[in-house]
Amino acid sequence: MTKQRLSGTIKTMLLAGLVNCIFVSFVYAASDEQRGAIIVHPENIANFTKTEIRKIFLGQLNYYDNNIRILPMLSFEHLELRTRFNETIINKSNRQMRAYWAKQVFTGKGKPPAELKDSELVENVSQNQAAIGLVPIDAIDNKKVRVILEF
Amino acid sequence: MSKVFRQGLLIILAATSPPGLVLADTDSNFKLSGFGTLGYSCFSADHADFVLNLQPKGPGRTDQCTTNLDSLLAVQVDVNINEQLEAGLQVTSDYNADRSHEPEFTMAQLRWAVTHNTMLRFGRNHNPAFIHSDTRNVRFAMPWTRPPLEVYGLSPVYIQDGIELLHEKNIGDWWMEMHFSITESNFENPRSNASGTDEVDVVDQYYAGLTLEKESMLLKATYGQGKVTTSSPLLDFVLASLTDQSLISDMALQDDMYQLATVGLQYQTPDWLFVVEYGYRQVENSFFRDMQGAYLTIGRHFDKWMPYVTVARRWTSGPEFDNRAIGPFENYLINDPQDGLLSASRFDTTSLSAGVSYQLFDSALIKLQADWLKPDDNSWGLYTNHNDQYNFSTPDDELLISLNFDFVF
Repeated sequence: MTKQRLSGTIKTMLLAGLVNCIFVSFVYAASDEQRGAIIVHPENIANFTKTEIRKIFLGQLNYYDNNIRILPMLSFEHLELRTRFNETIINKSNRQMRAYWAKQVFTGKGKPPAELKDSELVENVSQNQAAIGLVPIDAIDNKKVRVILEF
Repeated sequence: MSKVFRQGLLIILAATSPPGLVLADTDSNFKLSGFGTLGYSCFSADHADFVLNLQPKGPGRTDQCTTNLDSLLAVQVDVNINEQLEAGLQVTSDYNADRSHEPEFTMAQLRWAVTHNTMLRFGRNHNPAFIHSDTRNVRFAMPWTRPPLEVYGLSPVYIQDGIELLHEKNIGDWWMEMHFSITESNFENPRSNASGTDEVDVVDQYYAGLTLEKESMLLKATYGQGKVTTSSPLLDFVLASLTDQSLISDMALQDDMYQLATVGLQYQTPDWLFVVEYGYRQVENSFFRDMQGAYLTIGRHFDKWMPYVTVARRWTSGPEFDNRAIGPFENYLINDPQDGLLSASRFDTTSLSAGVSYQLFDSALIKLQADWLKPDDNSWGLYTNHNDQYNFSTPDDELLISLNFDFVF
């Protein structure tokens, strides 16, 4: 009987430990997730919806209302951030995005967004009113650029 | 063997180069890119070959296994001339109708952005009939080792020369692209069981297409028509045996109108892929009867893996005989249930394909696909180079297995 109780207690502890590990790792993973932002020039007053941002980064929306060409750009330094952007905003996996742009390029219909380092991207956006970029939040200098979407 | 090895090495080096080196530089006026496939296919059939596009032979009766079915290499150069003008040139080397691998221009166009939403393209481009038609060689961008032949084989034209108008528009959450083209085509069609080719001319070719996209959904519908002319020694021989001039005129392919109507739907999320496409082709006044094709593909992404299944079907419809074939010889040629021109113009078949693709690098995939193919009774199936042991009345089911390495650079 004692052995049975002991065995039961051990099982309960193991189960609790397992649940705890899963919970902790989940919380850790969630807290460790890198936040991203879509940034524009501080004097760029355009506000885009999530759907419009999706279209911009798919080359389906190419001009501002004032007929200036939109210049989308991405940071190539953070694959996880890029993956999350693709999956949550664009609604495609990285592989689907690669295939999408292969189709665009090899039919002569479009070019993918420029890919830059974080610092280059922020610098580009801070100097070009037509630029719109995806970077991690911690790479942003709020004096230089304006955030229009966080995710 | 060493040549194949060198080619393979070059392909692997190209595919493993850091991604986006070329594509990322959008400010550059000159851009070099490319795509390709290194494939190896084996087909169980002993009495016919499985071929793609305009290939003269394939795996099966001629060689049980071959690299020719899917292997290809293409290089593209795009040049920005100014804000509104751009030129593009694409050269592809694959297995040609004349049994060579001689590269040919598969795209040579001048693109003029007339407005922000409207583009005119002059020159050579791919036929846009189906969702993957204009990138039918970019296997990296499609879920399969190759597009389902039951549907994509309906289009009599792959490359066309002329003028295209593209107009895109955003309507609420939807993105829309309209496509109109006036083109013509000229190509060589390989003869079955012979080494020569026959010239095919398609003129007065008009296409109109509409593509709609919203979130995970893509819809595409097209309509095309053109006038086809071709002749072959075998067809000429058969037609010379007829006496009814109107019958001869109708059976021959001389300036005969073809029409192709298509509709397709793709639903794609980061996890799932559903694609269904349907096409209907009619060639008026010829021995080619009406054809329909359809397929459904379902795929599921598991990280770098994507297993998928496709079921596809090709139907033939239209008259199996012609009342004008009244003499015994004409009856035999036109109305014979097996050897007659009309009744033998039957390619009905069903296929079930199962495959898996694995993302090896950012720009490279490996695909393994097995196709189970079953032509209907009294059908040639979608094969070529049949020998006299091919069982037309009750064809066997066959298995095609392909292992491909697809890449872009």
